[in-house]
Amino acid sequence: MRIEVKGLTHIYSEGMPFETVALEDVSFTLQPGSFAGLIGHTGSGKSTLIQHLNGLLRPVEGAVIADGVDIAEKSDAARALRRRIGLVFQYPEYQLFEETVLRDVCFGPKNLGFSQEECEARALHALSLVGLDGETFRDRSPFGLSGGEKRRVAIAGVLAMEPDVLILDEPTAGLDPAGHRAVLDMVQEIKRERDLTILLVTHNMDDVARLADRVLVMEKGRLVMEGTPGEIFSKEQELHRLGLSLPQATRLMKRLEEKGCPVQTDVLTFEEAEEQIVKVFG
Amino acid sequence: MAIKDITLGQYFPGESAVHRLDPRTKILGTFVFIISLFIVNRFAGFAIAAVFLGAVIAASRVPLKFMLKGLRPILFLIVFSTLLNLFVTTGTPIFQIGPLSVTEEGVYRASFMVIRLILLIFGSSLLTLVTKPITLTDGIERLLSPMNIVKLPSHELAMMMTIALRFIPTLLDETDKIMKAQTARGADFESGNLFRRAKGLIPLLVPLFVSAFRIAADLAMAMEARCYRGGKGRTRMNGMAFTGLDALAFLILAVYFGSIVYVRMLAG
Repeated sequence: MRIEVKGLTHIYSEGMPFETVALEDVSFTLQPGSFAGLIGHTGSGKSTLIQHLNGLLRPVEGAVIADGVDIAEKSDAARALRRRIGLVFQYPEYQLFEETVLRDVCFGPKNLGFSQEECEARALHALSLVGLDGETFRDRSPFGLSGGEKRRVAIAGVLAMEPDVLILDEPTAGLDPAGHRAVLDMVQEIKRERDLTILLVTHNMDDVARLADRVLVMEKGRLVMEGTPGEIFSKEQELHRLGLSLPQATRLMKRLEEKGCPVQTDVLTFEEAEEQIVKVFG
Repeated sequence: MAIKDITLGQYFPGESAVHRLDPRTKILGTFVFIISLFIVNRFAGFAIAAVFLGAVIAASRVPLKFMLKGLRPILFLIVFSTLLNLFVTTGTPIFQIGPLSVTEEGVYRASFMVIRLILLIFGSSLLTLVTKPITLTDGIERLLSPMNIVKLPSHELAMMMTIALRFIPTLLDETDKIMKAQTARGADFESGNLFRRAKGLIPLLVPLFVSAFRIAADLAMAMEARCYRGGKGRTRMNGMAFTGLDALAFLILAVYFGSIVYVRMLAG
């Protein structure tokens, strides 16, 4: 699914003394099958933006257009499109409510109107996608799981709806390094299997550099930079001004260059950095 | 979001004379105003109350639009009590719809109730609009402190109120978040009959309770970590003092209350 965001503007508490412009004239396109990273300072409007992408918020101005249809419309076509855009909120484990894991993951597909068997089949598949064994977990209470497990169950709850576009708002916030890696590996795995379009909101530049093929940078409600990770992370000064940093591998190369090593600085991951270092020193 | 538009318990920042009054003055004033509304027994009394409240609102510079927004959530209550009064009161019938008859007395009583309710809501929501929650509970604590003699834990009561007030916006935010997350999973909070809607609230209420308990536990821990041990020997950073402004407010209040009582007396 191709998602076009056109001139999106959103104002909270319009006409009140607390009025804040959360988004201002944001435009970009998510190509089908792409993996985009959305970065920006806290309060730059990232969360507001993604809530527009599946119609939870209505734009004050502008539109979100999916496959040629404005998703804010009240038509059935627009509703059907909204359901194909899955949104995983920050700390999604706080949305768990059912008595068992299986029933909680079934909540989404059930709302889409599938039969009990179909829901369960989808739920078990979604659980396997997030790396949880359905048979062991299906009858456990979601409230008795560990933090990382809860998060994966919550993500499975969205995956069970089998969306074409998956938007993840800081899916690794508050997880330990193992949980962090597990969630991101899982995202990559799902992307490979289902050929999803993914938009990942994160504060972690290493993740963006490693996973994304497109990077969007926001500041104060505006989209200030857009490009490939290579393009974005070559602009250290600008990123620094926005309160953002470079991926660690890129930073390492820059420091090496400063010390007089003839390395290239356009690397994004540690694998590429290693290659460079081996080439120069090896 | 509609859920954030509830003004009850929300502070409207400002520097007006009404904002600057001592919280005790404002609390007592609100009480006097509420009592006065129940003393009133004819429309003339409400006219005085409305003029008084209108003047206070104007002086507070809280926009009327903002106050009206606070009325929306309780619109149902108003409509319900109006209909009940309209149809249930016996007396001289005006017209009939099936078995229901609308009487003169009913119309009179219904309009009486509506005016009283609206004034009541405006009056009490103004208190929280012009007083910061913390200041408000400080005021309540001070007003209740003479009751310490009869072992009333005024500080603890005030602290409980502070916490309750403090968590209204937090829990509203939480509700908003959970509602959005469940909506993203296809939950529907807006359609269907009453039974279906009530059932539809489970995905909202369960996580909300879990959050509330988690927040409460965190708060208790944070308070203990900072050695909170109740009101004994606790002093304030900002003391309270009555000023000339408060004296003026009490004077106006006395005149207002006097005239309400006078109108009632006139009615005999």
